[in-house]
Amino acid sequence: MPSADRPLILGARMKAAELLGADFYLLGVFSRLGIRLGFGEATVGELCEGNGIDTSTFLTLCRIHLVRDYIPSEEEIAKLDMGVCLKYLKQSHSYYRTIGLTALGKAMSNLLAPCGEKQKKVIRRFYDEYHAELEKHFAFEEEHIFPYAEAIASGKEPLGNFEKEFEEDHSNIGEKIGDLKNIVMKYLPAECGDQEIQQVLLLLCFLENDLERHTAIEERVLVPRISRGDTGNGE
Amino acid sequence: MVLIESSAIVAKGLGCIFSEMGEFRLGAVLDDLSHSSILRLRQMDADVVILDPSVLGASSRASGRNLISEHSDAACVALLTGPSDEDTIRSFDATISLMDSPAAIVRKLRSTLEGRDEGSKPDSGDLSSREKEILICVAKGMLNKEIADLYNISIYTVITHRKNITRKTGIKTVAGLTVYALLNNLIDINSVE
Repeated sequence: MPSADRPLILGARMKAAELLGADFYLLGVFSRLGIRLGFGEATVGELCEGNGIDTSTFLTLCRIHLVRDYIPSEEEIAKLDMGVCLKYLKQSHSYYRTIGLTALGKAMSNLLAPCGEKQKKVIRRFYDEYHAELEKHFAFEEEHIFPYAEAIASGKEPLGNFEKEFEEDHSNIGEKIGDLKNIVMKYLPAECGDQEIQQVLLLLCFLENDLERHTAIEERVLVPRISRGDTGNGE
Repeated sequence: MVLIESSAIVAKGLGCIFSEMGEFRLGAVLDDLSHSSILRLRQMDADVVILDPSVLGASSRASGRNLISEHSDAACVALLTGPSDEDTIRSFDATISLMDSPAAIVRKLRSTLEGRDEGSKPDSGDLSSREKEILICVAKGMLNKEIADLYNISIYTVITHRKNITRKTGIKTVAGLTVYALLNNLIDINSVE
């Protein structure tokens, strides 16, 4: 495993396990692209090839997870396989809906169970509003952004214009989850149990980071790729 | 000036910054606080000692600054190259970090020597009574203009208060601030229904 005295060097020839071990948030990239664990000593290149995934696109997605302010170069964007990106983004939505948000909603209910009616209502309402906003945003992307990207990838004429609304939405959603995290960390009623608070906080932090990466991939990979407007398919 | 730093990259880098900026001169670089280093420190008679607390073992980190003051009257500045402890930092006259610009480093050293600690004290974090009043208005859904008129203050003052409220609580959205106000019994749930 890499450590401070052995720098991590990303590339097709590195061991896939070393890449995943460097940052477990990458588990999302692996699983959403359908890469099963148990890959032994396979290199990143071998693993991608075996799974029919363009290695360069896979590495771009990983870099955005590993390096917070990473902005892919124009060549990187040009080489990108839109299909891989879209698969990652769609599978992320499906993960949030079926696992991430479900777990968080349950943990919130456990957390608020011992609270007074008034407090329960206030916090729950904030959470539910956040959840609804997120759902709305996902639906917007699925109805407008993803088909737009698919149209471009297959050389068709896309409809509409999207970028402005898209980015405003992202920043609102980011602020709300930050607020929720602060409320859970700092201002919950004394009745709430420590274990329950920690559980919610863990899920929140994980979701926040995951959503940030998801947004970064949309804004720094998908949007520039769409703006190029050509039909490159990873070649 | 004496620098106590074990990373050659950092030590050379800081040395270059000082020779480029003028004003301060790096007299010696010591890579630990061993007995021989302390002897050297006593001979140097420096105005400022810059100490990277990570040079010291975790157990002696808090006492590093004391050790220096036993042997030198120099002002002592911490150079933060990794995570450090509040208590450790408090014992220093100032702190510089790896990301500081050359100008900022020189400015900090200058004001340390002038006896003014330029690092402002962190505020208590509790909202002032005016901030609470403004928060209540925000939670009730009032606009900045309405709040300014109510308290007879400028809209810019309202904005400054709101920025401070957000800085202290970490909460940015109106909906989040409303939750804060309700949980802290600043407003009643009926007033926002």
